[in-house]
Amino acid sequence: MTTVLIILSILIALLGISVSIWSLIDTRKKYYDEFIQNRKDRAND
Amino acid sequence: MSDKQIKWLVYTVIIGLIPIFLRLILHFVTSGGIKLFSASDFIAFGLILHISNINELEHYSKAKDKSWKTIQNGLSIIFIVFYGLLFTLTLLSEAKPKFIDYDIVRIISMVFSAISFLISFTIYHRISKVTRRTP
Repeated sequence: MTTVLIILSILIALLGISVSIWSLIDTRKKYYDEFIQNRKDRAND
Repeated sequence: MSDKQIKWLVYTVIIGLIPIFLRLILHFVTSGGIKLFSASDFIAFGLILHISNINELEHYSKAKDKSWKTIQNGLSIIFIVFYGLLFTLTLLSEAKPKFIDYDIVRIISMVFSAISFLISFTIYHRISKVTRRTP
């Protein structure tokens, strides 16, 4: 039972950590792209 | 730090940490009569964070972020189910100590509450960025 719990915990923990890192990177990328687009728009105006 | 993140820190994180803080204080006041850490306190903290995540995501409606929202909601549900399992094991370890090692459940609960904090932080980080830019 303990071994099953440890394996399950490791899997869910890895899932949680990877989704968090992906979310941080995606947020950064999304708003960086938006920032570049806004700068281009301002330069064109 | 945005207004939304400060509210999350004060209303969710600090309120969620109250059982852990109280146990710490009581442990030192009663000179060891009460255990320093308990799995159920960390489980409660994790559950509070994930319920708050789901509530915040319910009110978040940015069309482009639908897949991100679904992934975060799904992850929070997985974590809530796992916390339910951990709580069941905590109760079982009291009744049948040979069935599961309580110390392992306690360590897993502590690690998971830290991961839940990270997940919750990333959700509020993104939501606060969106609300700051949307007029």
